[in-house]
Amino acid sequence: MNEHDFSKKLVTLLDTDVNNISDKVALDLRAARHSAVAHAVSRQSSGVGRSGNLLHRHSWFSQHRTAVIGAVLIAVLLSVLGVWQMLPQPADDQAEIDAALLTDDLPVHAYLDNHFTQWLKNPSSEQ
Amino acid sequence: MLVWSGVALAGGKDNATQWQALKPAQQAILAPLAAQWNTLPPAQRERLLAVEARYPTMAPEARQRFQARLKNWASLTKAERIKARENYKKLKKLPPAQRAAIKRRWEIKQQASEPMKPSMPSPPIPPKGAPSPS
Repeated sequence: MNEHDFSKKLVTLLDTDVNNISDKVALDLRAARHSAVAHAVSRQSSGVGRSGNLLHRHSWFSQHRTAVIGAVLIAVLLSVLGVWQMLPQPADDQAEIDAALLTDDLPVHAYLDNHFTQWLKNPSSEQ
Repeated sequence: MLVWSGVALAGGKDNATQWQALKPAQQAILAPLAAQWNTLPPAQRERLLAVEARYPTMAPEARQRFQARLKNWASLTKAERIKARENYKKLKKLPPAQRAAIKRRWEIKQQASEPMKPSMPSPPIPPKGAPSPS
């Protein structure tokens, strides 16, 4: 018997068995099929949920685009201001400070005094 | 070429701030520094000129202080000048009450470090062998 004859006989047997299947087995098979279909549907719907969430996020960004761009611009501006403050001051400001130091009611050597420096660090402490 | 022009520019600035290149009015204001002016680094001279430019707007008392302190200020090291500026800025940032308290502390410290002045003249020391007054 070759392979082709064997499969023909197997198909005939299976068809005969399907026609002779009992009601209980048919019901079990039906229940299993329903369960499998329900499971497949739930998986599909959860996939739709994820993509729906992405869509929701995208629409949120579209609605708040101006606010988001504004917030980013403000953050960049604040960073630039912070860096600018850390840079050396322009010569004009420095000359202003030098002029103030040279004409202040405290002498220059007061500002070089170590005790004075400490008092500035802890202005509220009494020595 | 770029280096050469940079050196030429620096040299030009150096010459422009030499004592003899200053205007008579500038020389009068910076007179306390006349002897040492040309020995100061060009950057320091430029800075002092920027400070000197504010002189006309100063009150008479401030002008006196300015000229009295100029020589001492120019003789400080760069690090000392930076420290003085930083401390000045810190003091100015404090609330007026704390600023006044620190100034008061400084005055007290200064008074304490001054030598004691005798309230009455001390009696002359009698020569050796002279009879002691009794």
